[in-house]
Amino acid sequence: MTETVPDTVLECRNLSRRFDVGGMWRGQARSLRAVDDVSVSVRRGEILAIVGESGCGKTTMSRMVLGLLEPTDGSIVIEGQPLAEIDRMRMSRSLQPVFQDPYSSLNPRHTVAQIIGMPLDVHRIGTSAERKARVRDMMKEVGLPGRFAHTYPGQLSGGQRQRVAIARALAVNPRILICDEPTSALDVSVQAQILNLLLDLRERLGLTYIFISHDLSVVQFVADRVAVMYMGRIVEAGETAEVTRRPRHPYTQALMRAVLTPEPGLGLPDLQLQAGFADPFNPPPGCHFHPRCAQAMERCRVEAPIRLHDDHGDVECHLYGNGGQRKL
Amino acid sequence: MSAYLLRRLIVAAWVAVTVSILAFALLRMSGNLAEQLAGEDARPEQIAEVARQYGLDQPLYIQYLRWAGSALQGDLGQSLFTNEPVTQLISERAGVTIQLALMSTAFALILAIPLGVLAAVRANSWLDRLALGVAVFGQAIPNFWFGLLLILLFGVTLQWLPFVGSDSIWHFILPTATLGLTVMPSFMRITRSGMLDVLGSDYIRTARAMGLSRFSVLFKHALRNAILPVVSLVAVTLGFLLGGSVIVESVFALNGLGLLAFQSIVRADFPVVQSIIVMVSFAYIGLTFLSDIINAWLDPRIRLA
Amino acid sequence: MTILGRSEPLNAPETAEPLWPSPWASMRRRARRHIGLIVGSGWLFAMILVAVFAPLIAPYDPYDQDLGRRMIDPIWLENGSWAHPFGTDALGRDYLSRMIYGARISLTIGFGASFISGVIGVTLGILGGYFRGRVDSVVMYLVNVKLSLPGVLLALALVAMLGSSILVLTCILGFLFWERYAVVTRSVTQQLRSADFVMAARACGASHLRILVREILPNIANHIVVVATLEMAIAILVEAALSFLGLGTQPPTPSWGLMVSEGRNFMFFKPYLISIPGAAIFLLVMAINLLGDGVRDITAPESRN
Repeated sequence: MTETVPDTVLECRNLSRRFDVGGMWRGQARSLRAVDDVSVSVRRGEILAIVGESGCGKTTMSRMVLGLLEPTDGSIVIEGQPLAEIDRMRMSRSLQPVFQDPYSSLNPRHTVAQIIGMPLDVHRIGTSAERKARVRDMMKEVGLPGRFAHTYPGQLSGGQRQRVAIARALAVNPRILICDEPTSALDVSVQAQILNLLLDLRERLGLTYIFISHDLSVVQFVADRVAVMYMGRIVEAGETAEVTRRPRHPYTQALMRAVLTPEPGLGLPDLQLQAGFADPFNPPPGCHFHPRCAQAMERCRVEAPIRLHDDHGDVECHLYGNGGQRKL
Repeated sequence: MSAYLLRRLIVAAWVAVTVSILAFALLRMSGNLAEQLAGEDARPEQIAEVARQYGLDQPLYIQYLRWAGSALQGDLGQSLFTNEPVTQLISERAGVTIQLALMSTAFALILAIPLGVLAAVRANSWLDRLALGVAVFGQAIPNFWFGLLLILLFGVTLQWLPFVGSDSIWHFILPTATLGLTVMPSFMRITRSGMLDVLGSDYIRTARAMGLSRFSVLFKHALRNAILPVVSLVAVTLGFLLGGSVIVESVFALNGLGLLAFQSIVRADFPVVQSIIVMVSFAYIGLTFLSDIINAWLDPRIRLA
Repeated sequence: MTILGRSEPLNAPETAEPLWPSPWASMRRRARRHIGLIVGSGWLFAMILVAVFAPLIAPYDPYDQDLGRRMIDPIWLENGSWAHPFGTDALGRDYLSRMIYGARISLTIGFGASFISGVIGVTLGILGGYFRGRVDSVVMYLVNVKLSLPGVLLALALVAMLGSSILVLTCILGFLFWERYAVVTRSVTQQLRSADFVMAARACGASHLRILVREILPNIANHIVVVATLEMAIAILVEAALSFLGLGTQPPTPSWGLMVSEGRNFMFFKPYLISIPGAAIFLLVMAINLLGDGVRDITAPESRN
């Protein structure tokens, strides 16, 4: 997945982020690898989903892609230009976020019109009358009636708020949206509406999405391609249909089993994994997943698997490839 | 814990140095020291001579280092007014102010803790409102005026208590009540909100559910945790009272540091003012550091942080 | 490209009407029920009117001495008359007129000092809370230095050195009492700095200045108003105390604190000379405190305790 396809709009190359936490004396500082050597690329017009449990590093990744966090290592290339060389104003016109919690993502002291108009204001786009018209258009675009222009976020439902957040993200005509769990804080019935809206907008505006989620059942419906993340690393990636039909990494398999339980999408599923959460400060040696893996072998405890690549996608697991029991 | 306290100690030391520089600057701002030392109708040569004698012709940082050096050895210079050593002046008066500060804090605590606990236990009852009313009253009343009213009532009308001077413990009662009332509201509010937090927490509800008596839950378990912020506040208050008793000391003619500071300010005796400010600040820094130690000892979360 | 079947149109029923009334409407509703807020703001507003229209309301010139009419009792005492409802002072000046003009001084200094300290404290606090790291260390260091200096004592010394015009008094008090603003602003800014709406603004390329002013400031404004009332009350109390000690506003200016001080010599015979101005300070400060508590209650009802 690392070779650049001409149509690639966003690419992460060997992206890493370390956090140093703790005191300043006697080596109390511990470091946490939130994102560890991640390489993915997104093609124009597609929806790439990044899936994993909370704490796997997906939010750290989205913050880095948004330029809100410096990578410790590696680089991000947006539309052929390294992120580090793009100034924030220009970058924000190609890339915008939609956050998970529509309660904290909207300034409670601003009206809906102020919130949606904020990016236009920051970018000094148009006259104030033109901005007003643009805000009205955006509200129509996301299905918000015009009379909501002068209400405050506190007056709206979760779904309405998320529409406001989407309208704000679209105000400056970005080409890529980073959606960080855009529906996980919403009621199930509202989730469908917001997902439909996002798909609809992609069609009409020709958008590209990076869709971050812990919920494979949602991802299954929206994403063209999936990258599964575990403890900062991408352990499997490929076409959504391929990955969901034939998951190869034991972790993906566990996630898929959870989707097939009677109540998909209700919170984090019981993964039927061997052990509890691993301590991200002390990642287990070898394959990070081995303490929870039902198929772990001796080799997994000592040697980290390397990334294997074929037509169906990428996987990082000792079960496959050289010395592995199974064929890719 | 040692790392935490070491960090606090470094901050405290920096603050102390800054305070001493500011106090030093205050004295320099107050006017030409050499002229004041030489006397009113001194000739320019005499002033220059005095300046040389006291090192006032040296660069400012050397003057500061000299001043700080001798201050560390207990020599704070001498009063421009009485020519007594400042150290002696201060040590003569400090006792009265310390006594007043301790008594006022004790008075405030005795009043505030039960009131705060009751207000929290019976939140939104008439008792809570009464406690709030007392707090609002204590916060709003000008303490010099309250002192005068106490003098009028207990000193003049009822003739129960003496109100001028510091000869006996009785002389301290009215000033203690006056100062105590000003600092009481913050104690009460912090006790009340601390208790409310603790009473709402799971482990207290568990303790109640396990059948521990109401009294034991309140005083053994809840109060002990609610009291943590009070410890810091006591330190801050004591520090504040050492410098904040100026007004009360002059209302009741208590011969303490505050009155000394006031008199020295009025007669432009700035070496004394400067020294008192430094002493009071250092006392405050020391007390808050002490409360950091106590808090770290009481609260394992800080200890381990 | 639609999934899960598009059964309902996009804007129904999810997007019909606002679910709740606007925050301003609910705030107004809470305000109308808050007795403390109504009483406090009512009294403060009345005092502001009195101060603004003092020349129209006051029956006499507050500086006009009439030695033939000295210490006439106020109306509620036996010898009182409607000619001087609050009586006259030791120099025969109409006490009511002096009280009316006195409101000007207290309010000017209260508003002015609270504004100056607000500008200093909010700037420091918001910078420290938003940027953290080294900026925050500097802010906390300044706050620590300020906290360890004895405020009232320093105010006395500075007033003695720099003079006691109302302008100078206001500035001194403004420069001395900003730390509470800084501490409160810093802690609420810290809570907001990583909120998603701040992230959204940053992702739009908004500058730090814009984020601080447009995104964060509106959300901490209520906390700032609450601190502003507290600081205004403190400034009024400290001005009164300084004037009472003779170092604040100078005679013959009709400052309430100074009036208590002047009446002190006669308080055993004419207690109204101190009780009227003292009560005026008390009521004004209490009104401001009630207003502050009220603003806190109606803007953040969840943090009442």
